[in-house]
Amino acid sequence: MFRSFCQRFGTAVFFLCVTLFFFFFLALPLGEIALSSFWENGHFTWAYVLAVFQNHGIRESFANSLLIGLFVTVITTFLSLPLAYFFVWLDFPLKRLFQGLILLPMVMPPFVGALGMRYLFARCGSFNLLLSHLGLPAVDFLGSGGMAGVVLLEALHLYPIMYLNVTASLASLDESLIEAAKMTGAGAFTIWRRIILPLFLPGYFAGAIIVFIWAFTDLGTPLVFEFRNCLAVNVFDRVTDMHSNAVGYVLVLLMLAASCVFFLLSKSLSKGVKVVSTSKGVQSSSLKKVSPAFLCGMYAFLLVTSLLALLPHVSVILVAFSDKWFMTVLPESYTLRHFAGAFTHKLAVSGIRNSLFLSSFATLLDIFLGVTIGYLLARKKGLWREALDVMVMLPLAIPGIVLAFGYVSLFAGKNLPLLTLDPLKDPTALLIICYSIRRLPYIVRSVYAGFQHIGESMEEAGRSLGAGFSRVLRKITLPLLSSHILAGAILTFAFCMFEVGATILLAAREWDYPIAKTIYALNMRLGDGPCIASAMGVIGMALLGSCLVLTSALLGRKMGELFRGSSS
Amino acid sequence: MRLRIENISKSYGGQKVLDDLSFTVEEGELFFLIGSSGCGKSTLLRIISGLLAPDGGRIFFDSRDVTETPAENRGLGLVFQNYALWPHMTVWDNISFGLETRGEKRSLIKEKVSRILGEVRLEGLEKRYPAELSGGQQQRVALARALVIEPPLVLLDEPLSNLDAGLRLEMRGELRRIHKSLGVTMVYVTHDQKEALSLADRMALLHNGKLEQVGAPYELYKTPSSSYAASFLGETNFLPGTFKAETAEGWLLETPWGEAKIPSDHVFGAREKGEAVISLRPENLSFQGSLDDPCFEAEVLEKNFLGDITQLVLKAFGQKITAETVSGADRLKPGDRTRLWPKAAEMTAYKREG
Repeated sequence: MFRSFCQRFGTAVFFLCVTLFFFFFLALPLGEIALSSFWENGHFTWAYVLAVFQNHGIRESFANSLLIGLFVTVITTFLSLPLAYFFVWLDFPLKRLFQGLILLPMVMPPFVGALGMRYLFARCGSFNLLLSHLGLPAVDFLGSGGMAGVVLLEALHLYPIMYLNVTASLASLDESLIEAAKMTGAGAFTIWRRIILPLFLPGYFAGAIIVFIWAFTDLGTPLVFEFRNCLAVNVFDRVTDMHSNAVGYVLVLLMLAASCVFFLLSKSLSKGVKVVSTSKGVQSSSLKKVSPAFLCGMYAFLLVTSLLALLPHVSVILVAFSDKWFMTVLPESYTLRHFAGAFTHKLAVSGIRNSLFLSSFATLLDIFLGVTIGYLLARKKGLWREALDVMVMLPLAIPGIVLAFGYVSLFAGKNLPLLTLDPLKDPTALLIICYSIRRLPYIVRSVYAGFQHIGESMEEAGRSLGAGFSRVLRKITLPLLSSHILAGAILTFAFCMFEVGATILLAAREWDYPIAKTIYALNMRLGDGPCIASAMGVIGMALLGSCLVLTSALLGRKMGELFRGSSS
Repeated sequence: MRLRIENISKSYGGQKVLDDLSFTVEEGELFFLIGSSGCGKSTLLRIISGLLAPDGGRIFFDSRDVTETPAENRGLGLVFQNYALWPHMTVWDNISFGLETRGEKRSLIKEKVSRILGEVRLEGLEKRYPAELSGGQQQRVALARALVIEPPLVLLDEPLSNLDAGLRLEMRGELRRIHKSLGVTMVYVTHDQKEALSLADRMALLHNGKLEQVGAPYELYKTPSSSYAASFLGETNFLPGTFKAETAEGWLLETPWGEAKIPSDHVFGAREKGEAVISLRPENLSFQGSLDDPCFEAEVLEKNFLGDITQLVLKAFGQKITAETVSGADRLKPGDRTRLWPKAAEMTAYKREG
């Protein structure tokens, strides 16, 4: 009786703390943005909203951002669908090698890839020089002032997320559902249209929204490509004068509203159907062998996709090792100097140190919050459960740049007791909070999946043998859950290291810069700047790569389920 | 439709799952494939359905060779073990899917679906989704979906294994009724011997991918053709023996309690002076008889009350022997000694292997 009361009391206190945390660091900043968009000198006004909608430039940048989001979603879809089909349902030589290759793009944030891609695809870049050597006219590869480049880079970076998601959806499709349709005489097209698609789409939409919001609100890639005519860059440009001009708030609100609308739309489309059959998914014994002709076509597709996806990496590595690269197809000579610079340059060293510190703290905070929330969601019942679920998953719909803008607006220039939250004085606390809120959904989802996987009966078996709550937790739950916690933590750490939007907005002073902003700042410098930035990018690539390999080893196919806008 | 299986073989990674199987299922029969887990019965069902290709052998529907015909063109009904109901479709949509695929007219679809819903007693549940149904209702939807296309042959893959004991018993009755009412040929896979014995017209027992025996349930139970078949269907005691000679009344065997004559059609693989294994079912051991008749003495080790009968575990000839009596008909208790009279006419004997 007393124990049950204590548990209920503890749950209530924790729920209250999480709610307060989300209220102060999510609801309040967003409320501040909404208020500042419509409120001036104590009066309600439509003036700024009207000003935004009447401004042709802003309308165009909004449309451009939407287009980037849509194009990236469509391209990643068309790349991932065949890939998922190949890897889930077919058996072919070199499958594991290609599986690794097509996931490689994830190891580098797109804005880092953009550093190198400019060297390859700019008007005087390697490819155009190659074309001119061949006597062919130059091509504007980056097109529309850089938009094509932004779309290409983001699509190449984000398609693995779409692929993982689509794969998870297809792999969990019970094969007997398809066989049942076959037995009624249905052909391949009918089975695809009436069975596979309706069951697969919820999972697809849940992943597509992550890709869309990511591309729609990405700040780093357009900045590096100097494509300024998009919403994220417009928001970035207006941070400095946010207190004198409320247009910035309206832009952020517009970005938030669009993200939320698309998020809700995807959530309604991805409402999962309850599968009642004992789903076995695709069994290895049912993998199909394919004809040699199909195999040739498939390898061609895999090779082209892998090569395209690896271009940004290759280009960044080339820049990082280049000693002299000017008006030549490839660097004239190579050096390790820039890597030495990455470990000795004051800005670079502080960037790496800051990122390691911030990401570690954010990850620790997320482990604590994620495990507790995951446990409550999986094991406890109550009206608060739904509220907690919605609250924790909400950051998926909120771009980092929006949250950071809200923080700057709410805390800049304000002195609070105990905790320094003024980003102009010390952005550490806000960066940790922002990172942890943004990445919390991933770790909660990973832990929740772990709890579901373990099943309550394992814990009940322990309790039936006389073990108390803490012993069951120590001896049964945590050991079984460890791979899921670790996977969620590694992923959280990796993504915190390369969080771009919030970092660029919140870290104002050079010595506070995390890696992302250091790379951006170094890239803007003349001389060795871009090369040292690329070297840092390569180091980051190695770090992120190791993190993803570890996560993948821990979670396997289930990794795709972490990159979802909703559970289904 | 008559189903003929001819020399079907299938291997996975060098391991033979089905080894040269041949048998025939007659039109309108409720035919059971039984055997322990991993014996190949589900593999054989998938081969019949066309979802799996055999490595060798042929399959005939009447006289038509369908070995190369894909599953979607065989026109069969298949009820999956996990039902495989499409979770995004209502009961009605699940059942009508096959008819729509065949391009049937709306009015005909409505008529057929309504009729089959009545047949499986699911009226009023048409608009529900599978998740909103009980296990038994889901099972009946799966059956209705397979039957509505009026297939000449329906395959059932352990369709009752996910149901609780009470529901399983009820659904057995339903299946028997539906089979009788539609008269369709059915091939039913199960490892539940009670299900097979109570429902089957005929059955095939598989063991390690090989066909042990085909026949009516009574025949398989009374005269199992191998010691495996004897032990798989019901309980039995195995006792050592020796074949002596074949006489007009049957085979003469030397048993631990003396000589016994076993009918010739109960003896398999007999050879003069060869070693034998005698199968003696518990119900064929009597606690009463004449001292002139062959009998032996045993010590009661355990007494287990099983409701209508009581099982007695006894010790004789250095081994455990199981016998049974009608509950309350004896006063034996562990430690007592008693006489047992084996019924030779009910025994079966096999050549001892190895």
